[in-house]
Amino acid sequence: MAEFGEGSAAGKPVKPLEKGTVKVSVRDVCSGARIEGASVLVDKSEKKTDSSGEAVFSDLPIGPSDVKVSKHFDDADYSTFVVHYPKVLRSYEAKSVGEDLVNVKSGAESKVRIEIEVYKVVGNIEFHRRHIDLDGEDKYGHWWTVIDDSTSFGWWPKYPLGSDENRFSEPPEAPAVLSGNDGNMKKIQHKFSSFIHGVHMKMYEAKESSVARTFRGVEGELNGVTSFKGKNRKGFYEDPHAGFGDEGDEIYQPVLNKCFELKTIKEEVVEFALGYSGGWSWRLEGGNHCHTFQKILMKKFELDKVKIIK
Amino acid sequence: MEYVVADFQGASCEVYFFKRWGTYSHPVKPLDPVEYEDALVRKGYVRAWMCGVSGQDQFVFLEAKKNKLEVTKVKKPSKEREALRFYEAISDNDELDLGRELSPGETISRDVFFVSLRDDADYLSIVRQKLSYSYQYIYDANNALKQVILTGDDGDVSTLNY
Repeated sequence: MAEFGEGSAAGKPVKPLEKGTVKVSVRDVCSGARIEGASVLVDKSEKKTDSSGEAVFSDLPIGPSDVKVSKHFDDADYSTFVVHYPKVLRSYEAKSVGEDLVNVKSGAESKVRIEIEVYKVVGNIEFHRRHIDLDGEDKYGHWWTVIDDSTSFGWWPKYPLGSDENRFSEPPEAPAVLSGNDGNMKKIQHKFSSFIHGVHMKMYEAKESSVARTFRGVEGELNGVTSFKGKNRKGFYEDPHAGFGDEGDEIYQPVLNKCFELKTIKEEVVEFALGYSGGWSWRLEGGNHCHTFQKILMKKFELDKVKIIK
Repeated sequence: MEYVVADFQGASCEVYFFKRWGTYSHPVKPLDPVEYEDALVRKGYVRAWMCGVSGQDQFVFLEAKKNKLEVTKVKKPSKEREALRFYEAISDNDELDLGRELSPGETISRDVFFVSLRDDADYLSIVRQKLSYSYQYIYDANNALKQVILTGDDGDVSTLNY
């Protein structure tokens, strides 16, 4: 009787089962940096990459084999806004996957490099939100965006809401004061003119109230430079709230899984902010105000995946 | 310490401390009051001055301050660790030496001073502040806002007239 490996039923010799080795290297698709702790699956065998971003599999059968990689970047688990205000968030796990095919060769080490997207929390960018509190002391709140701790942007009314600079109409003219010599007919005329002036004054005050101006809209300005001493001069951009370290009720940092350079994002955000224009108005989430500015900024620069910091 | 007494343009004032301010109109509304020692441990805070003018209290001045507090290697001179005390910081080249004790009111006009906080620490902390901007409010005889004088951290002054 033939021993295993020495022959077959047909009497031909059988070669021992050949095996090979595969070294899988997992890298960041953007920087090429080695990724530690990624799960690698080759031929039903699973391993984690070491500090060199590598996992070695031996005793693999010769021939083509699928290599699958996955990595959960726990620190970068993120949310997206279904609705910004009132806030409705959807949560996601920051997971990346990659795969390739490797040809396992006998007696040799086959190498395969798999590049995956890395989820990174961009700590240098923060979205701050102080919310509207209609029943409280701060009826308006404010949202602003901070980059690199030194640059910040928010959208403001150019003039304070109660200021005459935001007036849409002239106040009604009061009737002339009666003199002691005016006759009864003049007095009757004055009585009615005064009454009508009072009515017009009330309409004017309602039309020119801060609430009316908020809804109808007033001139807008980046960082409230004119009336609240924010900064908007070359190289110095500061929202008045960021100016003294106010944090707001909520803070979010963007999570990116695309290739980026912070310097480029900053330059582009500055360019966007400086080019932003329009009035300032608030009609719930309609109008053009600090919320609008931040929401457009987040969408334009694909900074809409966020980590909740506060 | 809920407020500190200090002078503003010859008027005696009470200076109150807040975490922030709000609204889009003037006078802005100081919000979330804090005690002085709690303001000094923050990254920034707001000072609001309520002054007696013509027999009435008026909110005449608001300062937004950036603030940094660091523990030094200077030992607390007082054994009363539970007391809040302030000391002058005398600049000697790059070093800061401990000077005389300051009244709380004297700290208001200084950007750098030592503070002995109410804690178990043996060492003083140094406060370093910087004005971010200020709003001065001027009212007419009926307490209606007449003018806002805005000053930036670079000393740039602008005025809003009502």
